[in-house]
Amino acid sequence: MILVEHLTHIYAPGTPLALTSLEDVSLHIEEGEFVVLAGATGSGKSTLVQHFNGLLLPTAGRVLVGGRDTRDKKVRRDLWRTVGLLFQNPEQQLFEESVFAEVAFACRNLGLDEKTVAVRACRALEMVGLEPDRYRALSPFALSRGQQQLVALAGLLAYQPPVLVLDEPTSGLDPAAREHIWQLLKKLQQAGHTVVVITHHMEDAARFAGRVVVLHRGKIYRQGTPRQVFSDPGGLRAVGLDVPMPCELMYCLQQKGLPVKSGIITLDEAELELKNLAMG
Amino acid sequence: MQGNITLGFYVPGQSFIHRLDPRTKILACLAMTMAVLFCNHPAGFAALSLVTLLALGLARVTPQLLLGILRPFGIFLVLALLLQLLFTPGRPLMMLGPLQLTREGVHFGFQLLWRLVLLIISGSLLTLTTSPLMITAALEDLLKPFRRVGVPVFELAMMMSIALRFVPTLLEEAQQIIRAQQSRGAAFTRGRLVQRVQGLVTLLVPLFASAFRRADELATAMEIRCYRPGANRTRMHQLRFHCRDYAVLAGTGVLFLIVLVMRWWG
Ligand SMILES: Nc1ncnc2c1ncn2[C@@H]1O[C@H](COP(=O)(O)OP(=O)(O)OP(=O)(O)O)[C@@H](O)[C@H]1O
Ligand SMILES: [Mg+2]
Repeated sequence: MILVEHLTHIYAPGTPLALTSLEDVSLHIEEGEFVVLAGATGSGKSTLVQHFNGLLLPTAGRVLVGGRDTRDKKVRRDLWRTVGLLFQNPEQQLFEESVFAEVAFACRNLGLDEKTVAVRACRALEMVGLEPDRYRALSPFALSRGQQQLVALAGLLAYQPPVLVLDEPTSGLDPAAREHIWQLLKKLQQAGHTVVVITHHMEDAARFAGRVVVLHRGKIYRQGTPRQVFSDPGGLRAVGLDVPMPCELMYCLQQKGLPVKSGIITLDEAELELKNLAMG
Repeated sequence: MQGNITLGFYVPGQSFIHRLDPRTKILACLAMTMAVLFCNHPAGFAALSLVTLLALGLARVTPQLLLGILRPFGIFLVLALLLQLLFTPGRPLMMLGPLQLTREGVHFGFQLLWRLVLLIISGSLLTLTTSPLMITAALEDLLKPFRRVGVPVFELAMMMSIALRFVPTLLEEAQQIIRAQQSRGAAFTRGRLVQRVQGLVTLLVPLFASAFRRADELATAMEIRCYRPGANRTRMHQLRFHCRDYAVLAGTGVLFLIVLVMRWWG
């Protein structure tokens, strides 16, 4: 679906402020995958995902979406219909006078009729856990940051792009809302969407991702299933990441010389393993 | 459009110009500005251009960066040139349809163009090599005498520095917002006029909202730190003139005088 080949991106090239934010990144995201993008602050995650819908263009290398090069102007113009991108800061895009209009904005840009737009907007609000009747008429500026984020997410879900790319959708949400969003994304993936999520929560990544891609200083440091990626806590910690708690626990036990399996990433697995250990 | 060097950007460095006292730079910039405005003699322009070139070299500004500085002004410069070329009355050189190109038009057109370029460069050199903090400190110091007559110097200097500090931030933010809205299908550069105006609304509302929010937060932050204009604060970096500052001041002063002399007696 999204093919990234030897992508290098330099901000402000040719000036004293030039900064290489991505260096020779190659990545293939298949249709229907659930990919989590992780990496320390400033490792280039946001920069990378903005290449997926043609907002940023490669300084070198290329990005193909559905086989079409994002450098092609005509392709780029309509790329947002295929690849829906949720930005890191929702407050940077809210401008309508009501939550409803905000959520409907992208739908309207698709050229849908008002009735469909209304139905979809309300559905999307429900999906993210905001009751439409309570929120639709409020001003988006009167909401809390977390709620604004949910509104922005609803706006994305309402126009139903086949690929969903979300830049830290759960930062600043309470645990219940966070869980809800992850479950929702999983459901969307099962319904056929391709989902790419940036997050700093490794526990969630371990539970939901089909593949985890770790960026470090603009390069791909490691990628694979959560089990593969989290098998080496030391290396991950060196690039500024955590490993999920169960994983960490098993690793510590192993270090103490106890016979536990490695490659454990969920709480349930850890519980089972501890039981086995206690039984002897 | 992504991440260009914009007006008012500060690029840290260790060049000769960077190390000058900020007051020197402000005064020299002022002298250059006046000189450029008063100058009307080819020899004067040559001298001013040479000095500007020397300053660019001393500040280690690459041709690429220079182009980056001038590019945003491109349209404005061309427009200024065209207006002068086509609408200055005088001895005709040739006809272009209903308009005529005059000798004076060409003269004044290119003179104006050159003036503007020199002004932009000397202004940019100041902000490029001086941190907003230093500019504020220098302004406060330079304007001190005016406090006697009731000019709110500290407030003015603080306002200046805040503005300088936030122009690049807001430009950066505007680009972010444009990208966010484009990825929701907003049209900025295509479509009918109505759509473009709508596109502008989707940019301006979040931009203003953010500017006000920033202003609010900044005000709170300043209050928390007990900021009071004019309170007698000491500085981490005391401003001090060195030999190089006197040399630069003397140089630009002399240049300014020469230009003045050429204008009235030349
Ligand atoms: N508009 C820009 N202009 C110049 N440099 C930028 C710009 N945006 C990002 N950068 C730089 O590019 C690098 C990568 O930034 P990016 O935003 O992609 O990081 P990130 O992985 O998303 O970090 P975070 O977890 O904080 O969101 C950083 O070093 C940053 O300073
Ligand atoms: Mg980011």
